[in-house]
Amino acid sequence: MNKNFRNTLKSKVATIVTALGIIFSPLSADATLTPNADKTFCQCEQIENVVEINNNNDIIFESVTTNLPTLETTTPKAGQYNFDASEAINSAFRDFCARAARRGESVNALKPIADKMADLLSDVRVESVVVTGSVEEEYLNIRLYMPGDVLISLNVEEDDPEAVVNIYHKNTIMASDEADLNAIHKMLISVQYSNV
Amino acid sequence: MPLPFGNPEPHALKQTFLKDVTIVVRYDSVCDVCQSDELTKFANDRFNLDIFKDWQGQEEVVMSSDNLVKFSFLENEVKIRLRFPNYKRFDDILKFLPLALEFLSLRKADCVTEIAVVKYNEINYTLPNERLSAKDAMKDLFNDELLKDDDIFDMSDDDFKNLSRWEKKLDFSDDENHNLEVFIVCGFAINPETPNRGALILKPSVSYKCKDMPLVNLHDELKKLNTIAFQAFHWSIRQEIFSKLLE
Repeated sequence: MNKNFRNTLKSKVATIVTALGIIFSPLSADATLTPNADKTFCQCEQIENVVEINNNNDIIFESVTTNLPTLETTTPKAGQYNFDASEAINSAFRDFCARAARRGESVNALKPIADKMADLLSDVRVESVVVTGSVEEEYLNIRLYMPGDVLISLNVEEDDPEAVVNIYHKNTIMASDEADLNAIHKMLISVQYSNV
Repeated sequence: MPLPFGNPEPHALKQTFLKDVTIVVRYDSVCDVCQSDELTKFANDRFNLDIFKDWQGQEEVVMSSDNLVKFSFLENEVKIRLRFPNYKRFDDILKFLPLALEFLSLRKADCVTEIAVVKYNEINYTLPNERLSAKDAMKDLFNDELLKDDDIFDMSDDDFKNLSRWEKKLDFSDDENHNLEVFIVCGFAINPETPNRGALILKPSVSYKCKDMPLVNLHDELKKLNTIAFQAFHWSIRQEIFSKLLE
């Protein structure tokens, strides 16, 4: 869906240079973008789409790990999706725990779920991973952004071994046992290679 | 507690970090039928948009084919997002408010329970040498007050990779503002392939919980929230950087 949003800026980009020499790149307010904005925008949008903007200060936490592509690249390359899903989930879950701890909550009870998903996805490569969860409702949601604008959402409840896997733009399957999880894994690998 | 931002009036900036603006309207509905075909037709007829429908998670989405205008519909929520460069001023997004009102009408809702304005800024940065890091970029751009009380700078360099985000909730508990919440999210993303370049993210969100706000007030109330969102942005970045945006 977003493949058309990867063109470069038409207008000259002004810069702000600080005393340390760091260059910030704002847009000129009268800039016109090509019909489909730049790529960094497109990728960051994936991050920002999942932000809870009014979460009522409840116990929903979210953590993101992602890869930021370069502005010059106009089409995705396989090498950009260089996050190992397992590592990405572990990393995102660590941050998820830290965020929870800062609010005085413990989400350790959800760790076995994250571990299970990390094991399952050990050889899947992704663009970014988002972990969202709720202590009170005892669930963990793991979203994997994969090549070809494929979003995979894994919803797992602590007391329920059932994993619901939604692969948007592709398919929806439910897993209730090991065999189903293996089938999901096979599908993820298939998605990975079919969209690069 | 009063708003800590001072009262700067919204400026017309010559440069901007703003990438998109979202209006959120929440409501109680007695009707659970979305009737998105009618909404699509309404959007098409009224705004002359080349649009298509999609599902993103649990949201039903109607968006322009260039992705600059997007409407999202959830069970008790409607969102309108407008991207730069279509967004130049808040009135640009308010033009699409009739679609939200049409949606509320289809859902038989005659008042709203919460409204919010979210302004998403993305700031690309380049470091001049490898002795500097994203931490330095954050310190150079963001106000000390925004960064204090967080553990951003306690993280090791190993943890300070890829993307992280911090959220600051400003709580207003006096009588006047007891329904007002301001969240400021800041963070960064680093490209592992070009570690001297990355992007900082700054996203002020202002929400107002209201009991049965009449729809007729929506326009003006959203404008008030937008002013606060601007003030939050103004407060979040260093004054010298803001001055540069005016030049």
